[in-house]
Amino acid sequence: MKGANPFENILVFLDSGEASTCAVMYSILLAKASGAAITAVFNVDTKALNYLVKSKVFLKQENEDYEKELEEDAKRHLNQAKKLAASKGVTLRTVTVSGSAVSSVNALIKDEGFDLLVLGGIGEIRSRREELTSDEDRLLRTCPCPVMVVREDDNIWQHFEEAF
Amino acid sequence: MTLYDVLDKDLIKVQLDAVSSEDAIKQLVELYAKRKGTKVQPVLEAVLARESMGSTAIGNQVAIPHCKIESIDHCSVVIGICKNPVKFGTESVKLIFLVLSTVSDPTVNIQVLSAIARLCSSSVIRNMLMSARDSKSVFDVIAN
Repeated sequence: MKGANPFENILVFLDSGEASTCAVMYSILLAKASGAAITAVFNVDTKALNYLVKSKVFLKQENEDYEKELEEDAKRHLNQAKKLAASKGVTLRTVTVSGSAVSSVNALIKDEGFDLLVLGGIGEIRSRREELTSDEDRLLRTCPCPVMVVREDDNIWQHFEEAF
Repeated sequence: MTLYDVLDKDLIKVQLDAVSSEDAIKQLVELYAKRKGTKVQPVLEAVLARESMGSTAIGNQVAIPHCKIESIDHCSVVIGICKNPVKFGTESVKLIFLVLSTVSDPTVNIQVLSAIARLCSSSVIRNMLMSARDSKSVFDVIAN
């Protein structure tokens, strides 16, 4: 543990859902209040793409088109996170990884020494299968650093608007 | 986003009585159009156009026809359990998962399609789905 803050280097996991936008907003406020550095990561799920080709759901052309679209999607979401941070005077670094979200994000945490992972999208268990397969759930269980779970909540949007 | 998020009991048809893959897809698109209040023809044409590029049968009596539709804003899955097998290309199929995707959210599309492919890799799940008597049973098998 370094200094007074238990964390100095925050990583927030971003996907295309609204829950992860809440997690980004909360992380930005946390970074602003604590002075910690903040990075947002988006995983281009090439593992799922390869699986879809292997299992004959996708043609090769679809795979190539989707890979480009996923990279664009990552850029779009990461740019949005950057803008949200800038609106609060916070500098947010962005990283795109690819492969399996769990392996890629955990490797990034180890390589770059993140000391807090912020996740959205973990709530009430609606389906056992979902619990076993969601990237967020698996990251929560396997991440090598402390994890903060942000609930999807309208108050966060309001808090973000009003804070700082 | 997970498969559970896009499941809808009213988009599941058991005992689907179809004579061909085109007929099965048409019936599933009609179910979707009725539920969502949209036109059948543009959706049907888009699904069949993708199918004409190559069969979406993935083996083990499963097919996952899919396409992107400009006019929709949420990914939907329409499930058909056929009374008798229908031919998708050279393969006999009893379980059909029709995935209608948005143009704007490729990440969700991939999550949903790969979740279905993983689900259907289990022979236990496939057998449970094929013997399901109503849409609630199908829903419960997929969710839990």
